[in-house]
Amino acid sequence: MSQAVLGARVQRKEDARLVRGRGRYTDDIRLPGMLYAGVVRSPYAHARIRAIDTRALEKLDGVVRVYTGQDLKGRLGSIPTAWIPPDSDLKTVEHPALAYDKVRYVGDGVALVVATSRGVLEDALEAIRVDYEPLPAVYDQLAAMKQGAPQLHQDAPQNVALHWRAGTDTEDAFRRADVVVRRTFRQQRLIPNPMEPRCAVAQYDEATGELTVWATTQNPHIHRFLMANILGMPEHKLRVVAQDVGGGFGSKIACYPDEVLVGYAARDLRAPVKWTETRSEHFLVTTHGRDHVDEVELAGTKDGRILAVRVRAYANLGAYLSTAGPGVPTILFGLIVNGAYDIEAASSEVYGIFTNTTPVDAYRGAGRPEATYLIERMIDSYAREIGMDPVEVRRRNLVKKDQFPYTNPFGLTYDSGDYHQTLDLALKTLDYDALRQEQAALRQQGKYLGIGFSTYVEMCGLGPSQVAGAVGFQGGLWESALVRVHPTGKVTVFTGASPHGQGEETTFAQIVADRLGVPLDDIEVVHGDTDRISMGWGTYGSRTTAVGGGALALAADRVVAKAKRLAAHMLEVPEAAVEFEQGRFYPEGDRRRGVSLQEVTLQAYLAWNLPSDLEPGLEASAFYDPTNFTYPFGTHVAVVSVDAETGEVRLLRYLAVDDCGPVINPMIVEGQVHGGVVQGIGQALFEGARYDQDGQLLTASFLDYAMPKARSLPRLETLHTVTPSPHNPLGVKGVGETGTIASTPAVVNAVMDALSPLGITDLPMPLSPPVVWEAIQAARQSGGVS
Amino acid sequence: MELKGHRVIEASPDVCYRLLTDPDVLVRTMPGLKRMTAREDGTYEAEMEMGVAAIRGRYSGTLAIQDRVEGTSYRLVMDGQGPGGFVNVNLSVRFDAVPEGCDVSYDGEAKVGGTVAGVGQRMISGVASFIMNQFFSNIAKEAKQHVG
Repeated sequence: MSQAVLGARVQRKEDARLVRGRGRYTDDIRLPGMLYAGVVRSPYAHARIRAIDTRALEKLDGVVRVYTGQDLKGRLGSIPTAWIPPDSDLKTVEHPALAYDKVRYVGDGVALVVATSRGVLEDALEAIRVDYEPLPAVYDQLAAMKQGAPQLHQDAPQNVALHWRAGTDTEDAFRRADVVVRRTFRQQRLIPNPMEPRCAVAQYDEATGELTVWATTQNPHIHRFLMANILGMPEHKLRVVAQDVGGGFGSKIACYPDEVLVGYAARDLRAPVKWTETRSEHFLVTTHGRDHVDEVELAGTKDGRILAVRVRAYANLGAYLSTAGPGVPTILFGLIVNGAYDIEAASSEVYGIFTNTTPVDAYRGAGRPEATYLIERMIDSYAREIGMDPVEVRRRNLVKKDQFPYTNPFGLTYDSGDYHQTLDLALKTLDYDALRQEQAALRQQGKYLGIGFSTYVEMCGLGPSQVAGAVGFQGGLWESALVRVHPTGKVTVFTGASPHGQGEETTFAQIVADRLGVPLDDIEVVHGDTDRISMGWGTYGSRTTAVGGGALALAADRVVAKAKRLAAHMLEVPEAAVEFEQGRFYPEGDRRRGVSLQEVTLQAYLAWNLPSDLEPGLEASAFYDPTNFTYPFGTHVAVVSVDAETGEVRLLRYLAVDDCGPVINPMIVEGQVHGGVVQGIGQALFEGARYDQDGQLLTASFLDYAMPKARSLPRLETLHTVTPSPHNPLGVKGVGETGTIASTPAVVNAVMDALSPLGITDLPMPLSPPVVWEAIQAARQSGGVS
Repeated sequence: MELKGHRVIEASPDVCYRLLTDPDVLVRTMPGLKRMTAREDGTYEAEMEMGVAAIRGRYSGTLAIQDRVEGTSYRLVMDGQGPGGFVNVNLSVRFDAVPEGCDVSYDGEAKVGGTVAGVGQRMISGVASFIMNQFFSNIAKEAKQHVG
């Protein structure tokens, strides 16, 4: 069995319920006497609250209670950030659950209404009149730093939330360089859109003083930790449950005001309360991603050797510091701007800036897509500058196989890799030379074909807790697992990771099935409940399989070790002479006699005849803290055509060669790569949040915010190489974010390659038809070759 | 959002000015304007029903006619709050004599916020010009009655 189950294309166990509508999402919860809560939100990006008039509610039957910011002031703690990067002078400004004096972005909550039905609630939300005194607003981070810009927070002059630097001295390398390439990139703001918007239901038990909050979260234990503090209640009296969660992509990491308010109202009113986000609300208040302006400089030689890279980034953090907000553009971005390349000198400097916009936090990849975009775009720009094939520049600068473990200029140690192998496999699969010939032939006919590469590496599998502490993350990053074998041999697995669409109910069962030799159907994976799982740090940063899976493998091994001692006793042979294979214990070399794990388990529970030093029962837990991050890598290639008459970019081919270590379930890995790649393509070609001068979000529905659609995509080709991580029990590296990290620059590089005959070197994302068309027109008018 | 346009009405600037500052006429002619009640300070309390699809709703607020130059120009200032958003209009209106009668022109901006801005921005300028067209057609009819 063991060979069959690990690496097998096992269908997802969770899909049996999910695809039949039997999932249990938070909004599916209906409790007797349940009330419905909604938030009155500011239509202004920046305004003083003069008065809130709730008199109209007196005429509405079914309104139970209204709380304003003033009502809650002092009763609820500030919504904190959980990431305080060291030496960044971070301004941890107050973030009240409901604004009481000033609103700072469109969507900022000013009042909570609780009603007996959703219908009454909607009427009540509309009936409340808030008198605002509008203030000048600023949505752009560069504008926000200027003298005289509107100030969001008293404690953050010039709206600077943080200023952080890392890296080595680069001056010498720049002095020695033959070529210096300078670019400014704008990485537009994205709006994460999981299928399921956010939702929270809270129930207070007066008898026990326990508050249960069902919430759409990627990390229930972090929510419990933060919410207990904000609500001012003992942690062990708060239970946070995330049953089925319909995707997060980082947007369900943060502890938001809304969940806290629901918990507060349920406790205050002694009644269950539900809040369900609408999609329109989601666009306004659930955290956004990216939004960088990056100034990048690259120093190199004429013959394609990169000497140094330095980056100055201006990251828009939005109106308040979100849970992981300050860590994303610093630690997760600034420490890996050299990418997969062996560059001796590199530095990054980051400004995090408050603006009158929705708070910004992790979005699939979180910092690493931004870093990868920079370096991958710079490689192509540099290659063009020195007249070299971008593939050749990559080949000359990628970290070589014999350099691992490789320490980058920021002190990160890339664990293992063979970067050139993925590049070679991609070139071979594409028949690169033939493709270049085809491109040349098409150019003769005035057609624009482009080939774009991205040879990426990312740091994930977050991470060693000691490092977490050193980089200011206010938590650990180890993971817990408990493997419980029941008396009949069925197995329940408890994990502190909190999968929400990634399929770990299946892959984790595969890990346990492999270790214990138990059929997959006999294994149940439990996650997302702080009462059932002692502790865990959740699912983000592609950490679940590397860290949570690592903990699970260790726990399963402990189960086997204990069972082996009992098996030896039952087989009446020394423990050292017991072999374990496919769920059965045998005396060494004797396959005729043996006992199954199931038989051993039953005896462990009956405990009629145990070795004197063996405790009854059969379960084991493990708390696994990795010694390093993991560093998946690969080569992604996009082939595009650009229609010069319409500006439309068409993806002709997309090839992803990834190395995420051993693959536990190829189907799930492919799914992760597909989803990630498409989200990255979304940034390159379609998506982008826009604000108007007054800070109004103009792209607040699917009408104006373009998500990628199946018809815009080619068949995605996926291939793998396997380089195990040397430091975790499974050797796995993580694959949840690789696609998003790699694909954006691959696509943009391809479009720039296509347009290179016109002399176009860079265009702002998303590369929508008007952007591309206008650039082509401008290039033709200024005398570029057509 | 910029609001700009003009329409020639077959009536004198004085007549046009009077029509466009008469609350009764405005309630009759402005699509969606339900009520205009004069307040002591010379402004009006107004109620309007407008919008499209999901952002349709009843807006209430104030309307003021400022900087009046009889028969020549005024400034219209409107602040309305409605479901999930606000609408603020600041418009300068001019009345110029032309051979056919009066060229009524308006120039200014509308600010919208909240759901109206997020969901409706693309539709709003279309809706606004549709409303203004209808409004001027109605005014033209009123003017005819006045002249006739």
